[in-house]
Amino acid sequence: MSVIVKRYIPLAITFVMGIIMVIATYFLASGTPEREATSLLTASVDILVATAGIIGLVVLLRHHGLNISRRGRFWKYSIITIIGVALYLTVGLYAIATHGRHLMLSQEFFSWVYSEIYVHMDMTIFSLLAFFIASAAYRAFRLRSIETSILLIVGSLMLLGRAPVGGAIWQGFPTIASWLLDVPNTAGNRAIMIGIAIGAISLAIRQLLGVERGYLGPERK
Amino acid sequence: MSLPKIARIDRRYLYILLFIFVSFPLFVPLKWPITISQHTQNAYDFTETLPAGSIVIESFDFGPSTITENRPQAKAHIYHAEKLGLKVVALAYWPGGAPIGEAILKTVYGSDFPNIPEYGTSVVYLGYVAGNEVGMQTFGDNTWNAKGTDHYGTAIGTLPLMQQCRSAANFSLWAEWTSGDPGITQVIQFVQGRHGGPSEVPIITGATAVSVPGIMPYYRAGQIFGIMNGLAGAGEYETLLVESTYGYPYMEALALLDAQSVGHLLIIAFVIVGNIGYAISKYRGGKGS
Repeated sequence: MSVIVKRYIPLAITFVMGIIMVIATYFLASGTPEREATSLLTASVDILVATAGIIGLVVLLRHHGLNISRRGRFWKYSIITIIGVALYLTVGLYAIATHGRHLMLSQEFFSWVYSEIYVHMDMTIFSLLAFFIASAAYRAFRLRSIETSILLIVGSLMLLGRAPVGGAIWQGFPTIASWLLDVPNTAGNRAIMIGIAIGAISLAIRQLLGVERGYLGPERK
Repeated sequence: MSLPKIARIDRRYLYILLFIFVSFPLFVPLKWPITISQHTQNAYDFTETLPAGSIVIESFDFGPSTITENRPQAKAHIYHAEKLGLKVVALAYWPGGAPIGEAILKTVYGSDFPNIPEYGTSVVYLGYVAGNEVGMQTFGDNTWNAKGTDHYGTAIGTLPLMQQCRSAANFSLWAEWTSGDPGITQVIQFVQGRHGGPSEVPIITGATAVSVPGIMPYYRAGQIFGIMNGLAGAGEYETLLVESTYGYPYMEALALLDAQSVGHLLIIAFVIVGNIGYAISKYRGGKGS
């Protein structure tokens, strides 16, 4: 495949689409036909997302299929993964067959598998965090330096201020927690946000101009 | 057992202690008083100012892992909206949020939902809207372009409420229930930012406690009108509803807040004991880890 097809055409598409979106966002008034047209353009991203979903499924099956055939690391879990994907896919396809529409429609069995199996498993995994946090608080939250001491004191104030027991002990705890969130936290996060935004703008300009090409994959000479 | 030894205790004992302490208030409620934060009060007060018939977007952008925090937030607000006579257009930008959102609507509007008389006129459920932040942008620009049918396959053009809901100009409030991306940041960037700012698209949010610090700059800048901060925020909103003329029958967050309080106290106790053991070990020249 020539370098024109592999490099220059994608760069041209990126530039044209990027410029259209910049013009639509900053120069076209809301509700105008031109803005509506760009809205349709962005809606077409759904098609790309759906395609990416299919690619994701293929990659997942290939990765775990190879892991099983080679008896790779944790290959037994790969079997469970493939069975899980196949089962839920079958349920989803059954939903399409019975409703004649897409997967997220309210189909009782499809919803049941999600609500009664997946939800509980996901909640269980996430709730284990409480135990790890407790263990980490006991073992790692040490007064080793000025910085860790400040972190420990502020963390303890937040723990007390953001739970009813804090207010029951002393009404000042919720006030202190709110102040910590509103003032020092906001100042720190604002600085981070501004830094990220400047970085994102510079990256966007580099991509539009074709200087940044990492998203096209490695360049072969 | 000496304190340095306690500092090196097997973690499984900590797990058992945490399990016992957190479980206890679930069976014997301690009913500590709730202090209402200004963040939650603002969310409640802004919702109160909306005239009956205003269109409210309720967006379920979270998954099962944070259901404990986000579900009571969304449920309390939708209940409030229903009592105020607001028109609710509900949707989810997370595929996993769609079934949870439907369950919340069934709780508030009745188990027959969507087969209720007010469906289509006072409440609509669009279900999952694909495209993440692009889906949000499309929904704000032209609602009908974002999704052709509701969650049940009915063309949205045939629903009277959706005739009135064509773009962000028609939204009186966007209530965002979120635990990540796409979430509140994307609503601000791709809906509010493109349609006249906070005065044109007011936003309130309920976020997980761990993500609230990251969105505080938006709140302080006036781009978010109110925040329900984690489970505590949901409990505060439930308390406001209970103390109002509406009442509130569900009490999901309030039932769990005592357990959270005990958990927090126990973690602080762990930190104190761990540090005492560490200090003694250090004083004696041990490692203290």
